[in-house]
Amino acid sequence: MGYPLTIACYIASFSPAIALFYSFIAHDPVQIILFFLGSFFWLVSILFSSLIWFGLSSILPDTFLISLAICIFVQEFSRVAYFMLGLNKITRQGQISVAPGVSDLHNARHMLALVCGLGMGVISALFYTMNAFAIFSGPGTIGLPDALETGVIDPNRAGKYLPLYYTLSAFLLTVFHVTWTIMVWDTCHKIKRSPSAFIPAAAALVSHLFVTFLSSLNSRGFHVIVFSIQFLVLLICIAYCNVIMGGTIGSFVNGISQSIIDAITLKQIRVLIDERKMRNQRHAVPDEPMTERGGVNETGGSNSSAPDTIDA
Amino acid sequence: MFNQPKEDGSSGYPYCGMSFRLSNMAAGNSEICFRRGKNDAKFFQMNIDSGDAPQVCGAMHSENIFAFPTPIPTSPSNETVVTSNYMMVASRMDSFGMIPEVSVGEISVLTSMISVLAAARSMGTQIEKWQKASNMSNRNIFFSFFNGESLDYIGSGTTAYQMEKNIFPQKIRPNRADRTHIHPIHVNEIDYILEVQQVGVSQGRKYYVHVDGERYVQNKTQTDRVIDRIERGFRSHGFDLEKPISGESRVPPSSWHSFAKTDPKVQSILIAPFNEDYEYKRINSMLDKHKWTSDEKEKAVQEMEAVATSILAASAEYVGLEVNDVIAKVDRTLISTLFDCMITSNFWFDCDFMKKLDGGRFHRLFNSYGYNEKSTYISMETHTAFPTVLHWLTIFALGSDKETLNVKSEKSCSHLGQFQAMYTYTWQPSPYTGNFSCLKSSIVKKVMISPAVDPSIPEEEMNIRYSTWMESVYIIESVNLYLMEDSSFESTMILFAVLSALISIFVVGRCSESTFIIDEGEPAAEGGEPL
Repeated sequence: MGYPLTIACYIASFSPAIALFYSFIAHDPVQIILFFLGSFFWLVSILFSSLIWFGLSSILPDTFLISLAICIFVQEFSRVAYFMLGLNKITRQGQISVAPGVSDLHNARHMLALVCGLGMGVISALFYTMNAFAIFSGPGTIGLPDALETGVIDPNRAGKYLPLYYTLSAFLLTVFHVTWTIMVWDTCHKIKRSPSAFIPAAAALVSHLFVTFLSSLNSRGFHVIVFSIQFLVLLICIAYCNVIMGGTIGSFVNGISQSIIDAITLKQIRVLIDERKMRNQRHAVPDEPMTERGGVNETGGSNSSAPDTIDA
Repeated sequence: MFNQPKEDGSSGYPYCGMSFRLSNMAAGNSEICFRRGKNDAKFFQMNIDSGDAPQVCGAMHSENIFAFPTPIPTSPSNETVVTSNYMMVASRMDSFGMIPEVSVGEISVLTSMISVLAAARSMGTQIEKWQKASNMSNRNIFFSFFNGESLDYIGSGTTAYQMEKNIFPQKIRPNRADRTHIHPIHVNEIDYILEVQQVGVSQGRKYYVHVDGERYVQNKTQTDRVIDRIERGFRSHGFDLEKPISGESRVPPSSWHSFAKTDPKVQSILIAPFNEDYEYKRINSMLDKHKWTSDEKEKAVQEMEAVATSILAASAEYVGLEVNDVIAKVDRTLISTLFDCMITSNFWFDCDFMKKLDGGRFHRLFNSYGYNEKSTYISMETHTAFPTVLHWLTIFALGSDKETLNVKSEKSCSHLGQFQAMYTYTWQPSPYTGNFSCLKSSIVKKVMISPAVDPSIPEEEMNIRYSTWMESVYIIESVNLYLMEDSSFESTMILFAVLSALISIFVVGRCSESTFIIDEGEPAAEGGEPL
């Protein structure tokens, strides 16, 4: 199918990121800068990881697992480094000049975590998918060189579902980075005051390692199981972030169930219809100033056709 | 590994696909190609330093191989009187496909060629008896392997032209009138052209013999005797021979037609596993390649053996040799070995038999990319090794070292061939032992190019009586291999993308900035804690 498939993959992979960007970032230049700075920090972390991998591969014969673990640690360290840049300071009241179009970031440390985490997630998902999606635009798919080297077709290959699995992975990666950034920054924020402050960062690190380990099982053909567990882990991470941001598990479950009910009952469409009805009703109420102008015309008689036109 | 047909004939995913760019140096029709291929048309492309002009477009050419078990009569001068009659046992040696380098031609070429080679080998082991019978009856057998037959019969057309002009197998040189010359074979000396086609794919155990009805009735008695011998040969191996012969019967596409255009008497005897329609649909195709099961191979070997026996029986009948178990005995092991070497193996010199026959000669001569393809396509530049392979096999089949046992070196062997035109002496190893010896044979490998496009005979230029196939030089560039998966899920992916976008809008639409901005207490912030 070529280009339509590639476009579909990009839309499916990045629609959550685009929706978040449009809703919370696009209107604010500072947040756009912070979003791209997050991407830059992730790129730097990958650069350091690759240098370490390059060094290790000249010493050790098989460096896959150790390189993977180091890469995850470096990524989490980059998150801490980003926080240390001083972003926490701009969330103080009056610490940043609020120019027109720039949001006041007072009390918005979780919003900043979302913005920067989204930047990291988007660039990592792009890094992960763009070569594969570029190949999907052509007549073939990935996998031939390995088959030529080994002489056998991988029986655990994803086959025709490969674009779907790449899309789901990209989606997960983007949202996971948001949650991990919220967690790590919460630890960074509270580390000096609370002995239990390390828990969110530890949760982020463990979940990052666990999710990455699960991904490595995809090559053994456990795609459905892996994605099911990863989605479960993502839900747990989101629920935990909700707790960090002041919510409770109960409110999170209620929120989700209410969202599902609203989606099933098409609440948003009903609201839109109600709003339109309200607007129409307001327009139907006679406009007093017009009546007055009509009176002026009546008395003046200079333009008798004008009220008819307005009424119509 | 990829693209393997399943038992039901379909082939499942994943496929291995390939894309490439093919640049043609010249295009148009044969006439344009011929004109652009001339040296004076390539003046501006000529290398000033070397004087070489690049190949742009030109005629298909390669080599025909002719093997004479009994020496051709010689003439003391340049006489061209009719002295002999001949039966030509013919087989084609080329095939083609959409991708020229992938034209193996297993059924188009190889099985028939093996049958003829087996017959020739059997004849070679009893050569004295055959020569004696030929000398007494003045009738001779010779083997012809025509090249370019898949491209409008270039090889047989060229041979017919040469016979018509009395320059086959060699041109008599007037300035060498003092020497003995091989008597030219004229086309009216050819009585029969016995050709075999598509051996190995018969439906059941039935073969057919095809003759031209009009010519058959002119010499019915002798032809019937020959066909009867062929039938006996098939029956001895459990095959039936059907003879759809009548005054109206016509010969399927075959090399005979080239000679029939030149001479009104030459008769065709075509042995094939089809009657009026081709049963095998992969002739001259890159798909003419099988995965042979052991049963299929066994049956194909039996067919080749039966065909070889029939050739020997027909030939013996023609030259007046009594057909018995010795004369018509075919080496079944040789057929099986050649099947493995020529058909099952990935390249001509992969098996032990062919490696020994090669004796290190092939890679010394042709260690280039083009020569390492297992292909029977002729091309414009003669870039396959097949003519050489077949030439060596023919020398093995009909060559003899009985008179050259004292020759112990390649150099002294080559000296034997000087100052005579009757025999060739080839320093060649035995495919059984690998030991080199000097083989004496009467085999000629003649360059063939269609008279219609042969620059040396301008009067025949673009004569449509002969093949006008030309080839533009092409370059295959940017070859990419890739894996192709089932695309049935791609439409679902588009639906999934739309759904994903809608759900994202819905979910994010329920959040606002206040979702993420939590006032955890102003006093704490004032006290130094950023919130």
